[in-house]
Amino acid sequence: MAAPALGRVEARRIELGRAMRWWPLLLIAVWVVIIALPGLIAPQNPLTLNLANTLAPPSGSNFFGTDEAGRDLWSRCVWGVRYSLGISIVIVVSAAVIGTLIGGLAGLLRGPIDTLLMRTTDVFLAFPYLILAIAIASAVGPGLTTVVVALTAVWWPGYARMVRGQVLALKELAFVEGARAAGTSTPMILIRHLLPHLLPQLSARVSMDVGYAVLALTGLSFLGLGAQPPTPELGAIIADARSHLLVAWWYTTLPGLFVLAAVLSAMVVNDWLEGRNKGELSR
Amino acid sequence: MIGTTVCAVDGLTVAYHSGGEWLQAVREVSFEVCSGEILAIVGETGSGKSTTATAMIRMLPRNGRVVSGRVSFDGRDLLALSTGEMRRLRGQDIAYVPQQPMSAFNPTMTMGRQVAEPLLIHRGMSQSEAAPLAAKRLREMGIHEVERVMHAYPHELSGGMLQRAMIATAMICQPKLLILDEPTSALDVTIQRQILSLIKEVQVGYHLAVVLISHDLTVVSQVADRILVLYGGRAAEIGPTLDITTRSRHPYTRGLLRSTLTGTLEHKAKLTSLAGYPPNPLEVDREPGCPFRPRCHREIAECAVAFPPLEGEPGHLWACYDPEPVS
Repeated sequence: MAAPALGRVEARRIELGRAMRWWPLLLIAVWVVIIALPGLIAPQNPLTLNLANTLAPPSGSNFFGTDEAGRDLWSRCVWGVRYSLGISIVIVVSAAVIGTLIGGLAGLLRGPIDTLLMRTTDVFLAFPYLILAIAIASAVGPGLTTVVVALTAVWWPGYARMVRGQVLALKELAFVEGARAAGTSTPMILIRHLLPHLLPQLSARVSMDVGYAVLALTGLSFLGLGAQPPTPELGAIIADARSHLLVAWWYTTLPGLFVLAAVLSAMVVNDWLEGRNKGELSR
Repeated sequence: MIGTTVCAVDGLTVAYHSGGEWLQAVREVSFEVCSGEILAIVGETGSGKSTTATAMIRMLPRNGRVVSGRVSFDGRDLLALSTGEMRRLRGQDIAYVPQQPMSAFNPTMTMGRQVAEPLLIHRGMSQSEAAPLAAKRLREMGIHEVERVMHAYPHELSGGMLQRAMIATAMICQPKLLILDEPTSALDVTIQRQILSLIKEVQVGYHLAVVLISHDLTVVSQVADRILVLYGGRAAEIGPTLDITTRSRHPYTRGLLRSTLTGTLEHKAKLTSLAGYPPNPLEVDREPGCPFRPRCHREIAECAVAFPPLEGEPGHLWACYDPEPVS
């Protein structure tokens, strides 16, 4: 029996519903614009001091108010996204690349190489990132580089384990044997044949980890191990704001909301990607 | 016309590590393939036919190992080559078509990219240089609508099309030796015919040496020049196709022939099935005699003592102490 013809309104509603499924992409686009062109959204220089206008509440000229040195807080927060979210993405993506390479090779080669790589992975996995960051900071001094190194070093093992498990399952499939029969080398099998199968899970995990990385990065900066003043990094801004908590509520709250929005967006994108993966599996 | 020897397997013995011990799956198997001929390897599940093929191209599973023997190809001992040298031969001079064309292609890549892949690996071509060659080869393998197939994903094609594409991939670098593992068993009967005649066409056209592995003696006898019958990992009989199908001497080969339809039914011959079960590799490994002995109706005392030597006429050899008489 044929379905009844859809009215124009229903058809438009379905169209809209279909388009709405892509809205996390819009979310990603907003963050990408903020990271790529902070000057467009916040024209004021985040480092310019104005001692005549310190700790000013939100107003028409200073959207988010100013800090204790009279710097525009809106500019500092927008530039802070570039530091906090941008660097978190760099950390997680490099961790994913390193982890995929190590886990993929371990899964494909097996034998003693597998054992060596995976036991090394376990050592890194067992290391708390805070301790590692403190150790590196005490050796080379605190800074963003310290945090990036510490977080990447503890973040890749998760990817190595996940990818190794998937590669172990995938390499039993007949097309891997086919590729090998064609003379394809092991690294090429990993890149050309297995990576497309890994991408759905990898992208979902990366999106989730970006949220966690933002929390870890701002946390380390808050503790003084990461970005140093006057760098406009969200964690560092909040650390500065602590002493003015009772007189300038906007100073801690607004950067905090930016952290919340970044982490929440990462979770939304993760949810969306995982939903898509499931849809692909059940189709 | 049969040319020079391309590949010679000599005394190949392969063992698998399983349950803490080594079991021999292939024992002392020897044969050679010449350019311009199809050698069929026939046997039932567990007879060692696929193991023989994967050992030849050094793609045995992780728990498999060649115990002894030589595989010479073009005057080189394949078993002595480095992994890199072997990898350069695979897909270039020796092509292998694995079982199951449906799963042998990567579901995330278009057919065009996969058929062209050996050219990228071995000839250093770019995707755009290799694509027209891949299309040409697909057309040669009887695929119409080449443009559509090039951009299709494997799940969009039928089993017969995939098998043709598989052979196109194998032939793209113009190898000297083509090994096909059960190329027809996943296909229905009419497509089987087409694929077999395609294999024959390709083999004649390129004066290729072909090793064709199958469990179906009657199917391969339509195209093979010579047939090697394996039983329990050992060569039971080897000879020209006509000798195997009409004057076979080994009781197992006779049993196989009697259990299949030959096309003509007017003489009201009865189809009989082979009594008993394929041998358990564990028992074959422990007992010295002929592995076919428990199912054989011609068993004599010597059969339990030692495996019978391969002997017979020039070109036609059988391993049996009491061979069937020629009628």
